[in-house]
Amino acid sequence: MSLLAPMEPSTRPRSRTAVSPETGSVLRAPILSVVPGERDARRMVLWTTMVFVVALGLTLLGHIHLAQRAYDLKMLENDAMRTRELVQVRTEEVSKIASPDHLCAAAREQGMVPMSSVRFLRLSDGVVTGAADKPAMKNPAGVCSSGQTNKE
Amino acid sequence: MAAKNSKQAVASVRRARAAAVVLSVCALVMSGRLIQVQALDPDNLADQARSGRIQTATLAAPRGAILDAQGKPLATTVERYTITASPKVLKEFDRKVVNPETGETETVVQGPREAARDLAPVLGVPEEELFEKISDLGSRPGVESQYTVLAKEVSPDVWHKVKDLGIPVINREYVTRRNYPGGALAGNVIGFLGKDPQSTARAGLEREFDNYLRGKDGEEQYERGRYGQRIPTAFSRTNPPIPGRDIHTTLRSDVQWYAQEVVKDTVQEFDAEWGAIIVQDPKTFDIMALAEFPTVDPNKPGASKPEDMGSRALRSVYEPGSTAKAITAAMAIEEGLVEPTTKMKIPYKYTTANGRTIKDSHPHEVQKRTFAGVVAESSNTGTVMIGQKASKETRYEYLTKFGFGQPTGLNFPGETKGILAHYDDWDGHQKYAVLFGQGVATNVLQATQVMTIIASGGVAMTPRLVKGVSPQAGSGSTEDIEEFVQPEPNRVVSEDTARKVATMLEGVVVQGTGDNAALEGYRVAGKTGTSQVAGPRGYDGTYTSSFIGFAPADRPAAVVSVVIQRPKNAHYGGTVAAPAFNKVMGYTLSTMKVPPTGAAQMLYPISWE
Repeated sequence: MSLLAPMEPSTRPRSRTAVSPETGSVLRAPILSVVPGERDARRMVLWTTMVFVVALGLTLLGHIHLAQRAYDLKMLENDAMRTRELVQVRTEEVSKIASPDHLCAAAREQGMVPMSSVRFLRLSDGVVTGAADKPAMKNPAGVCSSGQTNKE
Repeated sequence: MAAKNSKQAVASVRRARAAAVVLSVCALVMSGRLIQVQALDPDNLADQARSGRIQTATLAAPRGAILDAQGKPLATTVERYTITASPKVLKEFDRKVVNPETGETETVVQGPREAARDLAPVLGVPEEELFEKISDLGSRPGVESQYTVLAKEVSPDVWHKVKDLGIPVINREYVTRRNYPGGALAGNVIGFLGKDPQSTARAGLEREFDNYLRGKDGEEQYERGRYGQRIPTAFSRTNPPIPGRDIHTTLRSDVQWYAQEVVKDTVQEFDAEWGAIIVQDPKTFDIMALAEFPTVDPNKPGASKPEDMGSRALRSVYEPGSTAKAITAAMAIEEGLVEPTTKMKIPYKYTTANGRTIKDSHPHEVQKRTFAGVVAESSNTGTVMIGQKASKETRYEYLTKFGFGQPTGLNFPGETKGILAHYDDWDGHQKYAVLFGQGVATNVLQATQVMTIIASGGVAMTPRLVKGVSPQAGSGSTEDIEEFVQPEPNRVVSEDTARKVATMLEGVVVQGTGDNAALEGYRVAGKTGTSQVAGPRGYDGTYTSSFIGFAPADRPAAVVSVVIQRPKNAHYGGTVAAPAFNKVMGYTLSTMKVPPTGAAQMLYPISWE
């Protein structure tokens, strides 16, 4: 079967020429084209302008929104950094305060003395074990002598 | 007419087509360029455009922390800032200030004088110094500087106070600083970093574990404004630094601190040259404390003498003296040469087969002593009489098995392996002297290990100062540790021998030279040591005093060694070092919550009739 099916007479393009029945001469038809009407053109301009303005407006809004978000983000980042720095500073302070040297000095300020002995209560038979209480040492170790580095 | 119109129409169509083609080509070129700019190589082109305005800054990687056995920080890294300013901008700037009269905020024009006046109290820098920097007085005429450093190592708190002053174009540069919150606590072990820009690790664990502690620096790029200030919402790209990993030590801060206090007191009391105390766990061979005096505060290493930096306990050697008799005792019992109850007659002087004379520390008549009594009273003559029954090879073998002349395995920077000559090189005196701890030299840890091996039932393990590392920096957990693999333990003497030696060492404290080490309520085993110090021209008349022991003797929980170098006024280990042992052992047991075992003490007799 051929791929080109014969055209029906009604679908054939009309000839641009015709024969005059009176003179028998060949007449040529004028070339016709579709032109937009004036009203359509105005509508087109209006629509285009509207679309342009709306697009411009949306872009502007988007930019404003993005800029606002960027500032918000920056502020939150700054807050986060400030908080992180605060945590670090406080951690540093706690480490210093919790150091044995500082704890000893703080305990001494409150009138605490080093314990001379520890006693344990054995739960199985109730016996107290460990060193007996000794009198407080005159100069026991661990009384927060200042500086552990140099010979004095 | 129609033909003319037709021709015009055709021409018009052609023009339109040509215009369309031209426009299409233009559109195609623009689209191509757009694709190139936006899709194919956008970063490169954007970078080219920004390159003139981009500032690149290094983000220093935070160094890993050094933690004690309970996760308490011994060394941490803190953030600090270098505060910089632009003299060009500060020449004259607008600043919002509150009018004290009206209470209203108003903009005033200020200059370097006002900036210096307000910055000085916050930064802690003299106003005149700041004024000179801000005024850019040091620069060449006609050159306006845009960069000057106002202050270094400023804490975040201070930075925020500076920022709140509202002085424009004051920037900060991020730097890190090593912080040692305990000051001199374990400073000799932790080590310190240099002040050079790379913060090179100079000593201690900082140096040994630098590969783990040091992270990888990152980089930050940001767009800067006309005066060098950072533009908040403009381009920025951050390649974050990779932090270093935390080191988990076996040290216990509280025990370490107490041991440091005691060693300091002892050194000062006896006006000694230096002293060291080691506390070790006999179950794991973990070092709980390694205290020394004098030592170094890593926060200000420059304040210490060079010889006080690092660890003398690991770096320096000394003759261990009588504490090494524990090795001779273990060898003699293990080799079946003697029993703790073997009866002996001990003279003050003993002449060996090669004519060498060995003497005890005190003159005495011939004494009837058991071998346990020989150890309890620290008799050199009795020790040699028994020890010489073993061959030179056997003596050398046991000294080596107990760790003398061998690296401890700690791999601490500058650590010595001690001095133990091969038995073929021993002279006529040395082959006897090694039996009572002379003619051989160890560091303090090696001497401590001898007692730790006895306390552990005759098994030797590699001492440990660092358990492992955190998977990542800042985890702070003591649970999540990648532990270093320890070598397999090896048996040095049988458990029975170790137990017999431990009982003999109990006798030292109860009936012998170590009574000052006795801890009420606890069974304590230990050995005194008093050895002469060898100088360049032989023994110089000074001494090393030591006491090394463990408790509870029947279920050891801690080994403590005390070594005091060149004490004055007294020199016996039982007088100088044993009291310090008593304090540190008592504190350690109470801190570890170790109650007395309550078991009855069964000591060997030390004399006979």
